[in-house]
Amino acid sequence: MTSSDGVLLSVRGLKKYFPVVKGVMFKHLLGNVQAVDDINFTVREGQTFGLVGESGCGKTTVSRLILMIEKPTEGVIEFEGKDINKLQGAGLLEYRKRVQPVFQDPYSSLSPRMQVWEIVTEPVIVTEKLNTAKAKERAAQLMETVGLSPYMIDRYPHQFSGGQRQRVAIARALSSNPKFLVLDEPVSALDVSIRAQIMNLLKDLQKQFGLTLFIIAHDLGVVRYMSETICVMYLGHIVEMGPSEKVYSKPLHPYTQALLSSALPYHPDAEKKKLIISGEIPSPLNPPLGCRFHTRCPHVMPHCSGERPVLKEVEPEHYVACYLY
Amino acid sequence: MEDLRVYFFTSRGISRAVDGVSFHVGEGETLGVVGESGCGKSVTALGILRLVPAPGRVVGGRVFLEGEDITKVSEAHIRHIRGAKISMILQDPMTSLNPVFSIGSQVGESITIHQGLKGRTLLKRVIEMLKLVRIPAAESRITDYPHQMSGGMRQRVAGAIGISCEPRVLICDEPTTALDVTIQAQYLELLKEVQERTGVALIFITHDMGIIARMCDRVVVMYAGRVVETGSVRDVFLDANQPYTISLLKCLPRLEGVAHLESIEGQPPDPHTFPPACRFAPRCPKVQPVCNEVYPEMVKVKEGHMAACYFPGDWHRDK
Repeated sequence: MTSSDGVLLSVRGLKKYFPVVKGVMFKHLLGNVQAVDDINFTVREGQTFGLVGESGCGKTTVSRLILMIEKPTEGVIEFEGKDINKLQGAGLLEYRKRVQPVFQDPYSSLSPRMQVWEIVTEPVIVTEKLNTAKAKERAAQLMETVGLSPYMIDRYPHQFSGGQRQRVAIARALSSNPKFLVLDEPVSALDVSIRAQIMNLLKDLQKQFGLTLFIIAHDLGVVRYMSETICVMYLGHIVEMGPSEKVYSKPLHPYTQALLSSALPYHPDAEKKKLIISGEIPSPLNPPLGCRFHTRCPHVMPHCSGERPVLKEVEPEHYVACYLY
Repeated sequence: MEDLRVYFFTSRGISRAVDGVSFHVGEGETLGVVGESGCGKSVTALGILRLVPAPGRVVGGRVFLEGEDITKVSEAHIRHIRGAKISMILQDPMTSLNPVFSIGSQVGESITIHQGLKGRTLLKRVIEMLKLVRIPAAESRITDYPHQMSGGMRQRVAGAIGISCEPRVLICDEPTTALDVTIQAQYLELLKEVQERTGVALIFITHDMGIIARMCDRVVVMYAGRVVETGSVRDVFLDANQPYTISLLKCLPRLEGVAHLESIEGQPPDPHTFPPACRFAPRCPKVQPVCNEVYPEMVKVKEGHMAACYFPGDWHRDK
């Protein structure tokens, strides 16, 4: 731990552009998909940080940048005060152990040809050089931690149901004693009754191991239940960030308001909120200038299409990027 | 629809995907069919249309459409019913539209087949349909191909195909699962509007309780191939009587936020080995010996509200 305020991960000026190239022999650049465009946030230790947004808003790209699957075009990601893209050798290996992913679809994230014990201990077989007997023992422990029977370690993924597979994926993530889990849509491929099981498991594990969770989801209810801080993205920009009660009870950005009004409450008598958003998400290849939401915003003003609004602290800890505030 | 049974005859034995499902839907009404994956809700829809793929077969039950039993009619006759009287919107607009035909020809296809329109009149009708589903600049977009449109627009085209012959019943199988929340809200509004204008009966097949609460008049809750509870949306959501429904409603993460979610432990049973008794019994918090003996019949809770449980409501009131 480095900084005194408990910041574990900090992201500054992060940008990721994907070039779009046309042509086979005479390649030329059509433009850049600005998947993530200049975002800043920090994640404190022991916290659950939720990232929401619709498809194409860049939330998965952020997770891939943190996991070092992609290199940023610009900007810095610091973990425990060190720039992760400058890590080498032992430092890099340590980072890989400390930060582990859980992906959306447990049907494709687990290799069908490996037995569960191999899957679960794969991260540590490399780093700790365990032999088979030790690895199996470790796998059995991990299986118990995630609520699966330790006798199942010789099975293959197809013998498990979706919820069980996601538990296996979580066990794999826990095998290297990580500090930080990056969960990309961890429950969206699961059924409702299984979802609650997995979410509760993640919460319990967080308490037990003092984990910091970074959760990406499009389901607002899931993010609300899991996270303390929530960050809303739209087309590669952060539009609003703050403690979840505040963001949910008093959303400031028109996009957050629209997103919350589009969510369907589970109550037949719930008042039908008026739809305040129309149109579709613009292409990230050619995003609108200024505030990227201005093409769909009900409160659009002339200068919204000029300069990009910056994140402003409107209430303590509650940031919004909008000219209305 | 009465006692529909669809079994799949596989190498592992008989999979009773839909095992005696009955419900009805009235003109202009919206019925929701809700359940988790594998509970048989999609197969039910295919069973109604007699489109169950091999090795599946409709082995029992009757489906009445305006008094006519469509499980008995000839294959030629049912082709006149599909698309014209009952049609369907599928889950994924990326795969349900044909990528090599323009959207105009795809919308026009069933109109030509069922109503025999051609040339100008057909073109006019197609444009009218696309306008009905709010496709902007419909006149110029009929020559577009599916890949030129966004997911929301494609699902609208699928909707236009569904309603193109003014069916009496429109089955929507997870119509918005592939869409983003803001686009989903727009699409649901649109379907309501279309329903008001045409009086079509909607059957919504979904796992999303939010869609049911917003859209439907009545709801059928399915679990492991059977109906466990049915009633008006208000009755089922506010006074659920079957333990599965009760638990399902409790494990939803709500926007208002809750401290701890209750979860249903265990897994749904394998359709090859359904027990003859209550299929929810192994996961039921209120299970009694009798639950493991014989399947409970649907009992009337109140007018129009039925639950398949020996102890309806009990547990709910204890809480």
